[in-house]
Amino acid sequence: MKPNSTPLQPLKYFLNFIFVIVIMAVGLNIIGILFIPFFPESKFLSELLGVPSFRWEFPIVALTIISIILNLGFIYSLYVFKKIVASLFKSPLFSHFQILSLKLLGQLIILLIVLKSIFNVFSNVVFQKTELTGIQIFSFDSKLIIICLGLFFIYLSYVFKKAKDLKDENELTV
Amino acid sequence: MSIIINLDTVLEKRGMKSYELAEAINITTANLSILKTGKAKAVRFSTLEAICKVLECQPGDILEYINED
Repeated sequence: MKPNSTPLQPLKYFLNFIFVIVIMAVGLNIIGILFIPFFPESKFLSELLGVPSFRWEFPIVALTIISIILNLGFIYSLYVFKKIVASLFKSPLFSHFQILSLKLLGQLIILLIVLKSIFNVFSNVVFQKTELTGIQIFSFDSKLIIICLGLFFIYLSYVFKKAKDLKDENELTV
Repeated sequence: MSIIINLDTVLEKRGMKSYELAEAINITTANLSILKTGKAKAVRFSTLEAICKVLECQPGDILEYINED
């Protein structure tokens, strides 16, 4: 069963565009982070981690590493999403790949949001920030909403699995 | 599965080949093979009716229940 890909075209183009932009932005970000030790007084660090200058201390190094992991994780999530959308064009619906990828994407989204929250808390505690970072639930920027999206992708994977079982059964009906 | 298909036996009794039955009931030989080998998950009433009509038999001649407990 080949899906009708017409409604997916805008999503595909938009996702490709975002992916290119994100690759460039995150690439520059990571290069910037890697160069932080050589330019300890740069403003880049203060904006990224919220610290005045780089020092070879455990909390700052840990935050830098977590920041790189978050960036790479975000790129990978976007790549998985891109592959899922591409597979909806190329392969039949409800394939094994789509089921696994949707589940992986949901798990990645939740993992990255949790990691990002830990990163924020850790950063606030270590650098004794006074600003409040309460849970904002009134917009789509909210971490809780994003966690819901992650859970939805996991559920969608379950729906795809059920659909695959039904499709297989239908194909084996004589 | 506890339902087994005795299509081969009935075909042999009638002296009919699989492809002839497939042609007569208008299904592909691949689908008939799925049915014969027991891989089928379901059989449409229309298919069963056509098979019974062509082979002049009852559904019970083709399908058999075996208690596997």
